Amino acid sequence: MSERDAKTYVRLKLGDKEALAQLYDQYSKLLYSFSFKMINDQQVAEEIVQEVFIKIWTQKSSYDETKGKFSSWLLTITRNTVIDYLRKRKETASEMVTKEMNQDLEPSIEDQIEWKEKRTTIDQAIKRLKPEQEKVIVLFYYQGLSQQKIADACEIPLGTVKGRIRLALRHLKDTIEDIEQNGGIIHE
Amino acid sequence: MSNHCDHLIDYFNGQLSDEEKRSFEEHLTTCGDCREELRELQELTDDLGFISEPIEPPSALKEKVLEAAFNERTPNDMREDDDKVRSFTTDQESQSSVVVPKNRKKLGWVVPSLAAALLLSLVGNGYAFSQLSTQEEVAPEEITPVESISVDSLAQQLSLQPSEENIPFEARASIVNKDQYQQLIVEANQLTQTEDTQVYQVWLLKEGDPYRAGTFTPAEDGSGMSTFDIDPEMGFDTIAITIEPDETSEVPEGEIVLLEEL
Repeated sequence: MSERDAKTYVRLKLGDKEALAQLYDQYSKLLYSFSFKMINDQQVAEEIVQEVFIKIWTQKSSYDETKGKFSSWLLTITRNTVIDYLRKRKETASEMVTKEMNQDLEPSIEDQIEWKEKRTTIDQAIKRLKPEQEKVIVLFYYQGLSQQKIADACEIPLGTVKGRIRLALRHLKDTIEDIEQNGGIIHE
Repeated sequence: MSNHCDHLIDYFNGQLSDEEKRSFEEHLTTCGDCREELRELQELTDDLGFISEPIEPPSALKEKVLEAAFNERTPNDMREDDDKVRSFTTDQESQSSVVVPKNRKKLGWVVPSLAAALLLSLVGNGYAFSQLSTQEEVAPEEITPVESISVDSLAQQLSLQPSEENIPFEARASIVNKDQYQQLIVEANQLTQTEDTQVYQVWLLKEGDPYRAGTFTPAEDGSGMSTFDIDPEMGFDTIAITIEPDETSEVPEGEIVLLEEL
């Protein structure tokens, strides 16, 4: 958490409305984009963002430094909110496919640069996974499906789902680290 | 390995019924493997949301979201209803009443779920809270003189920075060890004069919960001071000064002029 975020968050906990507005300005685009990625519906993504900011404001979800990075915490709340929404609506998440990279990112703000860098890295790393590993990550993380549904979709025994997920995620992490260390050069 | 261990993925993805969830959380308290696997899942997925293609939310959304949020009851609102008991005094030089925080009614939102509590102790993935202000080493002669025959010592002294750069404001907080308690002394200069019943209110915070810690109004030259006795056991982490509509605010309502970590 940057010093700026830390101060803003303490002010928010004191009931400073301006602090919530600041967090909105800073993170709404990321949370909206992530919601949209998971749910592929603009209107629902708006509802999710609203729900997330209500959770932050009312401190139904409360951050402290043991929960890791502030942005990761916000993404986790967003993801949980999407999953709750999907469960309630009994819908399945839209088919997520790694979409074409949008080259027209606006690198104007520091956060957006960081986002763009991470996005490029993760995107490259996912593309380097075996298709079945990519699929398991998409079903598990981006669609938040149950173990049974993942087993059905991948046509694998229920008992092997957890192992596959962990293996795929570890592989992804290693690949991300590899890309970060080698400046994104793909040795293929 | 019990059947419970098979619920990890569904727990992470919020796919368990309330009953199953409770049961799994109970299992987590005794199963080190599941705790470790849960921590690993968190860590491995930490940044995956950043893959999202940036899409600008509609500009009207901001107002809608903020309005919806501000219509909700916040913990601060609830506390306001909850405890009207803490006493207050206002005067320019001093006020002394040992802060013995009222035994607050436990509110549901304060209590983290068992799993969250577990994660708190488990995740610990090396993130260190950035120190917003460091404790200054202060020479003894700088200690604010406190009338006493007991031997006092300075526990901490902080220069306090205004929360907005355009507020001219200079303040210093000193925490002095007394025999059985500590005393918080706040001195400020260049204060903007308050209007009508407005007062400057000092707050000490512990994990975001504010406690009144001194109230003052500025003298004509813009200087002000308050003292307040505090319980060292409380372990406050932050000090704040706000301008309140009057001296009765039990939770901060007005403009925050200053906020600093202790």
